[in-house]
Amino acid sequence: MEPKTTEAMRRVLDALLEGGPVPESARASLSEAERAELDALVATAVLTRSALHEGDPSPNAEAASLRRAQSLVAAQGRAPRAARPAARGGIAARIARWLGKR
Amino acid sequence: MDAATQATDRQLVEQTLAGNTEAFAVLHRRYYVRVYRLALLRCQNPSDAEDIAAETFVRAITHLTAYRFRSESLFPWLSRICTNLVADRGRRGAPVLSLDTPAAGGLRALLEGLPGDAPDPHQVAEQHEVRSLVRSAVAALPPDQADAVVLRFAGELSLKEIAAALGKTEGAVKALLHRAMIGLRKALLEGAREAEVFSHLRRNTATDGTTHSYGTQDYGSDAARSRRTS
Repeated sequence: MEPKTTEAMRRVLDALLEGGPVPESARASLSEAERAELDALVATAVLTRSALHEGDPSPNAEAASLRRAQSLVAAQGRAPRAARPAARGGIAARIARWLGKR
Repeated sequence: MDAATQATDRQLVEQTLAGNTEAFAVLHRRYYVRVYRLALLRCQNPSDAEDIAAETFVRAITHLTAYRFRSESLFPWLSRICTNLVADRGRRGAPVLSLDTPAAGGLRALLEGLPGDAPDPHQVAEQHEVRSLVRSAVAALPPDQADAVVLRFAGELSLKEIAAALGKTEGAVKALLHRAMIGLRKALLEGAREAEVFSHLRRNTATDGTTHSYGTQDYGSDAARSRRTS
């Protein structure tokens, strides 16, 4: 079962999640147990941020990905507009195509 | 710093759609590492993560004409593409690495919130095994909580941007993140305690020469249960 969160604790957690400083008055209103809980959650957040920022791709992989992406952008830029979904025409063109099939 | 580097994602997407390859290069530089780390989080394999990150950008270009901004950042969309690609490949996270005893002890002391003797979280986070354990715990979160955590901590998006990206209120995002932090703390504590127990058993086995019959299945922890059922 999840521990019950008091209003004071919720205010402090909201401030932390928004990335701002925790007002000293809000922290002072926490019980000792809540302060310990808060410290543990802050530590969890530090560990999480650190873990999610670990791991760097090889420079070769990044460069290869960029080359592949840029050649695709260039190819799409050269493609005739009619071949792209956004340029398939409005309602009039769709009606004309539909009539053409009949 | 040039104008392209300072341009918003929305401006860069418009320029890319007009065939400007350099505009997309700026987006690539802005998000490639974050997408790679997200892929690494999901599949736990650096080589696969590189393939998935590259494929994410290819798929983004292919569908860019149909993309509609819900927040000012392109990252939520890239992260969804990346997550779908990992799911398509059917990759699962690697098993949780075992911690050595000092790492497990430091993690437990940190997360038990005991006054006075807790180590510095940044020092604990320096340990590779701890980071691997955290990544596995994030990957095992319910999907909506994991998404919120990734967007906040890996994507560095504001609560407002996350809310827009996930189609939720800011209050709902705060609740998701709060539940995620509680869940992560619990999972990490269990991981640390299990590592300490195993380490203790290994030491006993080594010193008295007997073989203990305890396995993961005997502890009955939530983590062990979830691994058995997954």
